[in-house]
Amino acid sequence: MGNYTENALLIDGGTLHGASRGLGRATPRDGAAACDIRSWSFSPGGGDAAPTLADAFAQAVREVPIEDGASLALPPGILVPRVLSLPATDAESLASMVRLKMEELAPVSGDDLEVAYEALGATESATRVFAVAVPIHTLDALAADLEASGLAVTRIDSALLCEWRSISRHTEAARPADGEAAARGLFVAALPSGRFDLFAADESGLLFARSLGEPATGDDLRREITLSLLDIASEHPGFAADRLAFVAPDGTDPRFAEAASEAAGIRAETIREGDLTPYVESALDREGEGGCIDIVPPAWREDEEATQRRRRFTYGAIAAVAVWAVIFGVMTFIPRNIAGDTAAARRKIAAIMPQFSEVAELRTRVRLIQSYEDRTQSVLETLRQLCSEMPDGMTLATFAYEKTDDGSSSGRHGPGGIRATGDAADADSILRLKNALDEAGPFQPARIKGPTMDGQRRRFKFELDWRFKEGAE
Amino acid sequence: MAMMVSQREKAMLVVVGILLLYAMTIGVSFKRRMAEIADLRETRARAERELADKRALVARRDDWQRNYDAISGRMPVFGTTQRVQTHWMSLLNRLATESEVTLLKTQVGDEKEVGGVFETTIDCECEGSLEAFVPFLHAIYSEGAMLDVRKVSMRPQSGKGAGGLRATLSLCCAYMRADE
Repeated sequence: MGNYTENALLIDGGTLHGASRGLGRATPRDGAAACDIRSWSFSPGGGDAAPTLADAFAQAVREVPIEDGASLALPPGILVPRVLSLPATDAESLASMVRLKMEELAPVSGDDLEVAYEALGATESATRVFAVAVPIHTLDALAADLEASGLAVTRIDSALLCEWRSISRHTEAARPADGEAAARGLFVAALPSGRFDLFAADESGLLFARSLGEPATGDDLRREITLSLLDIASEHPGFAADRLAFVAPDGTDPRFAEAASEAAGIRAETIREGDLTPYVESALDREGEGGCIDIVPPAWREDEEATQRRRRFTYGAIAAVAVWAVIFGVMTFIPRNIAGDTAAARRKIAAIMPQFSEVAELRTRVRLIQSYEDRTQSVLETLRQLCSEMPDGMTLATFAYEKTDDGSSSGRHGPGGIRATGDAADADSILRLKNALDEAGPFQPARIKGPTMDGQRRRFKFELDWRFKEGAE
Repeated sequence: MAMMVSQREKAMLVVVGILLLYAMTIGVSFKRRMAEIADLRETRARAERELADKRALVARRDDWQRNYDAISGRMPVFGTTQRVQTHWMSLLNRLATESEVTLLKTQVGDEKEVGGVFETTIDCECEGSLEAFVPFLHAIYSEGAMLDVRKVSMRPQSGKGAGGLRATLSLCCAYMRADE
């Protein structure tokens, strides 16, 4: 298992924020790991010299670095967000209902729209979801920027929802413990880019979320909040806010908080946030959570899978060719090496042949002379041994002798020996002669024919054949 | 019942098939190559053994030369064109006469050369008593020449010479030739 890294990107105005968390070899969602946050500016309008969104993506890929892809949270200006309360039903029907609702709200036709949602909570009779819609041509433009930068997006999230997750966690701890009513509230978030977002929540969770744009003055903000409260009142007639939280970075004009208080008719609690860090961290924390919103079009995923398949196939083919090349190389090198050794040995043999032939001839002469002088297997010696062991009463009829041939002149190698035929008065004496020469002489055990009884002469005939032992010379 | 095979399963089958073909191709060529390598190794081992044997013999050159020098004086030397049959035949006749063995028939074989030494075979049939044959054979061995008895076959003589022995001998004589 390799090192695991989580990466999340969030766009706010003309800044791309990135959070990265190295998890080492731990399993995903190891909360102990610290995250690294960076920002890259770009010009949303695409000025001549200013870096584009694609440039910002490329910088993020390079500097984080992002190898396994990242989630990307898009702002409300790109996505159309809406909290929907729908009847409780199965997932397929819920998806259809969400799509129908978002198609009604979106500025483009349904065929050119990508829709995604995330369940916020459910009761027995109703389900509340946070849905987003985005025109496909917007995603196509984003795809071009992503492709140009080499950034692989694993999930497209909603920056608005990331904000809400962070704000709800933050304000949950600060919520006054005065019962259920205190859970109903309005939350106005001011972002460093100048954008304001409004959230309304009841005891079941998020009820309403809308971007208020970038109001220039407190009056503009008041007007936007008032219009939004009218929407809330029409959609959720029973809702009445008990608190107003104004979440803003240091240095925000206090008149915006006053305008929000005036519009809501509730005194605002101001919560200071230094920058977007909590929201980006929230985007990162959502990585690995199940059921999060994801508006990546299926076509992108199919393309990515096809790319991955092609890559795996290419790597597999390269690996197979490499294995084959290594085996082929080794199998070619080894025989060549052996053949080279053999050729070298043959060359050395050829070089030594004149000296070898000379010594070999000398050796042949010596052995030949020695064989002529060797009398251990001479006919006289074998006759002497035969006669000395021959029992009384035995008569030899024939005697044949053949010296062991060393192949010197005949070219034939083979053990010589003696063969004797004759007769004896009794069979035992024949066997005694055989055994005596088998044990004492330079012979191998004899082959014997007989003894057979000659009825007329009343004598036992025999034929004995002794071969010299190999190397007995 | 028709079995449905999904696109993914088809792709997996193709991949598995390709892998099997690949493994088989590698395996077959590997096996064939290993057999060739085994043959080549055997050939190399034979060549190296042969080289080692030849080197060992060459290294013992002085020993063989010393041995040869010690015994080469016992080998008769004739001129390169000199006919040697008469020498060996007259020697054989003299030894037979001295031992009272009668040579009935003699036949001199072709001259063969082995390692610079020449050998000629003489086959003969002879008659005599056992008491004559033993000194005759002893005389051959004692002559000091390069004369050796290779084959002997004896049997009792029948008919007019009954009581004696008839023998067939095959003798070998070795000698060298040198420029006169």
